[in-house]
Amino acid sequence: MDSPVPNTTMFTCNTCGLAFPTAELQRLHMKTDWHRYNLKRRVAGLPPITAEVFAEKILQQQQQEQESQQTGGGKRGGVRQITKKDKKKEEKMIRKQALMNQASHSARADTDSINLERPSSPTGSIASSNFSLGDPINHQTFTDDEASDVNSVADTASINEDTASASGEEHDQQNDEDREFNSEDEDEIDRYIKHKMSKRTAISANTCLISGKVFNTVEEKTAYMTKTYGLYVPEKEFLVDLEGLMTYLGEKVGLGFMCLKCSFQGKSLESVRAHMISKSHVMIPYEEEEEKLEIGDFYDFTSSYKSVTKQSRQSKLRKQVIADEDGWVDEDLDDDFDDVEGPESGSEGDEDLDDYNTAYVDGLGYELALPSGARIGHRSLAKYYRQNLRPDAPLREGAGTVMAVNTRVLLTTRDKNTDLALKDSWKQEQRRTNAIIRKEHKFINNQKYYRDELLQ
Amino acid sequence: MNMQVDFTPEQRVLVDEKNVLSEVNIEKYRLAGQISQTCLSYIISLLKTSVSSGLSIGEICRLGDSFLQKTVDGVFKRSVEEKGIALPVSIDKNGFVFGVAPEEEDLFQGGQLVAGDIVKITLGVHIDGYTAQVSHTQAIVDDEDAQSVNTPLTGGHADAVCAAYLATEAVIALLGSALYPTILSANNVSNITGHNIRSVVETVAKSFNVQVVPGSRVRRVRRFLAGQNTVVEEKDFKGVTWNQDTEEEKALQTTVKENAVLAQNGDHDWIDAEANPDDFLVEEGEAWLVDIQMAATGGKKGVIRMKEFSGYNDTINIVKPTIFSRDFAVHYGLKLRSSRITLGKIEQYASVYPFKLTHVTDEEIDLPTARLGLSELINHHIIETHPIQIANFIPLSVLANPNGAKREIANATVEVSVARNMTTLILVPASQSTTGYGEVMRLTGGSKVAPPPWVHSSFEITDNSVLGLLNLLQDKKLGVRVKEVQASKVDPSAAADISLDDMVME
Repeated sequence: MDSPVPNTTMFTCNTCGLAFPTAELQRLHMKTDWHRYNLKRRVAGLPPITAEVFAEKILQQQQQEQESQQTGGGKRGGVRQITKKDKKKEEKMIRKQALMNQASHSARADTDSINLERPSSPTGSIASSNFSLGDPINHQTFTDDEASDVNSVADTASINEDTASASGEEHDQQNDEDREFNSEDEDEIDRYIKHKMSKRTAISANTCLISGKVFNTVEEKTAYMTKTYGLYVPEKEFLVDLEGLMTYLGEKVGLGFMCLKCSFQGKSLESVRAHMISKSHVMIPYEEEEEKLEIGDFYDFTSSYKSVTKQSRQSKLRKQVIADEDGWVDEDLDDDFDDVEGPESGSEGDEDLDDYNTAYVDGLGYELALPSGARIGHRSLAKYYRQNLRPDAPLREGAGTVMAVNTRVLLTTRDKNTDLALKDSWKQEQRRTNAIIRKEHKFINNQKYYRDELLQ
Repeated sequence: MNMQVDFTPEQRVLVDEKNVLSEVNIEKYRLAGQISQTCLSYIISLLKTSVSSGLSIGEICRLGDSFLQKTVDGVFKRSVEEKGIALPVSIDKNGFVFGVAPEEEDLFQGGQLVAGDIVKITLGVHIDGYTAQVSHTQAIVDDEDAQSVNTPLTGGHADAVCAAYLATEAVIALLGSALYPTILSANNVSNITGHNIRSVVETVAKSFNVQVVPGSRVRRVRRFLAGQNTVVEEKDFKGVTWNQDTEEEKALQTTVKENAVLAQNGDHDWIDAEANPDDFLVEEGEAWLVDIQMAATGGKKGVIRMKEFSGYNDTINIVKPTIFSRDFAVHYGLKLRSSRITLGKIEQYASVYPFKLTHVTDEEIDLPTARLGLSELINHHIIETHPIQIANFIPLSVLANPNGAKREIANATVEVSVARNMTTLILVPASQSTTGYGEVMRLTGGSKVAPPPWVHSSFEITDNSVLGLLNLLQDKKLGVRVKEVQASKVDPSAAADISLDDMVME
């Protein structure tokens, strides 16, 4: 289900297909039952539902609860005759309810013992929520009055109602379609989910996904998995919600029986674990755009944006320092310059393009020093750059002394600003090369049976 | 020279730190001085018998060079990268000033030496750039003629020799007194300046009716900067020089003044330039080169011009210079392989000092090939020549005449004999001295190794200030202490095999 994403800087929830203007709203949304319900649907391979439909479901469930309380287990006269079909349904429901309770109890035992102070965690709220999944929905026709009621309830249930409805009119249209669709199939789907869920328990955040070992903290568990199975958490410095990420992975494996890396779906927890070990798939894929988006909710990259803006501000300052070369415009660079001796340019990709305006132009305006370390000379001087001159032998002390005091030697006056700018650009280059080295070290492969395709 | 360019840190080290008179540096200076002294005494001994033995000037020069090279090769074998001859031995007869150092196959071998001639022996040695240069004037006597041996040299030659010798001594005393505040205060001066030096030298010249030859200088020397290279325009130069053009200008102006105001007796009147180069102070811890050349003009007023010697008109037509130096400021992509090899050899052998072509040739490159390469080097000014120079005297009356034709000047021009005394000294401060007093260490020259020849001049010094200076050298207690570096004992027959072990300082 696609939702219009107005801006890349918006905070999104991929599970529900929503976008939020602030991170705060997004987090609040993550805590809602609606989001959790959609997450579970997603694990089961079902499309997410909108807030209205969800609110409807809650209403129905509450009604049912009231009814059952009123009846007190027995039947009341004057109400509609209970058919055999109804009875069967009810029995089935009770059985499932019991199973569900069991499952949720075990989950609660896990989380409560360790992590009581964090009720906002999705696992915890499953346990505390009195909303159980897949409750039968009475086949009722949807009326306008009720719809307004539904909306009022939905307001309380979901804070993000406003943003959701504000995000576009198509949304509403879709909602309408969903309602019609839901009224038909919801029952079966829910039952299917419930059926599936009854057998499964989510793996909690501090439990090893493979061996099932329980650790005191999420960090310990992550370290253990990295060490034992080579589980690598990408972009760690921007990861803000490690617990959330681990919980998500736990749900993926424990509830969905899904492999972390590929699309494999096992029949049981054991099968998926065996699959992951044998295929060395105990890893978080982080290459494709989709894969990045999947766990993007747990990251916060805003700090990296800041550094970029800071850099660009710095480079603006530097541009002022190199005041005399106003003629250099970024767009012109491609036309006017011939990369004659820059062997490693372009290796950096997008980041380089952002830093392009930090390039330093030498005093005469014939050479560019890029932050990557490449030197670019003007095309008109190409024949000199192509020369392969022997480097000057260093002067011996005698000649050096004579040269030092000889006033006949052409004197070059130095400009303080130019020197500063030059120094700055050298520093930048040095920093860049250091960063590249560090990056290389970071990506040393730690998969056990990894075979580099390039080396085959 | 208004452009001020700061030295880089490396250059600072080269120019400043390496010139501090530390123990090691003094030792290098001393050793360079000792080798020069030894060679000088060896050449003096050769010249004494030159009339009878028939050794030509060229032969003596070459013997001296090989002696210097062998000796200097034997010292500081590991720790010093650059050392060697700082000035090839040149022996200049009478009117020749500098540059007579003939190669073996040259037709001109420096001229015939006869009794009554004066010759200037000039040579120099550097160890790690610490340079000792010397020039000494020797009178030629016929060692087989008893009368020649037993009579002193007289006339113009004698005047010039005396003037050069005494001026050098006086300047040494003047420089040395910079070490002693007591002497300075006794003479009511706070510092020794360039004006003092110039005044002393010109007073002595006047006393002996001779004239200071352009090219004379009293200058501070530094490591690798011993004034050996004429093409270098040195930054932070400190010293008094007698320049040909300014001397001529000065001479012409004094005649104008004399005509106008009549006679200004004995006073030294300098032309005031905007920034007088003589406004410097002599300080302790410096090394100085005193190079005084006096021309025997016989008291006539006139100017001295240097002329490049290219041969006696009738016999030898072209005499080529034999001494060269590298100009490091010039870069040029050389075309000939031979010139590239030659340049490489030159840089390796000669460092920044003058050299002779035979010194740089070896198995890899023979002399004819080196000559071929040299012509390209000279054409592109990578190598500068030190031409053979002759001092010519032009009477002022001819020169000052505004209607004077060129031919008139040429007719009036005569060659004059020149005496030259050059010595290198370091002003060792009390903190570095072994005796605990500040002292002048005279690296080259001096009365023991190079005593002045037996001459008899009809003039004497009457100026009290100069006499006072000369007395300072005699006064052992309150005067200027001068420590002379002595030569080691030389057996002339085995001179080439001399080892430094028998070189001891007396």
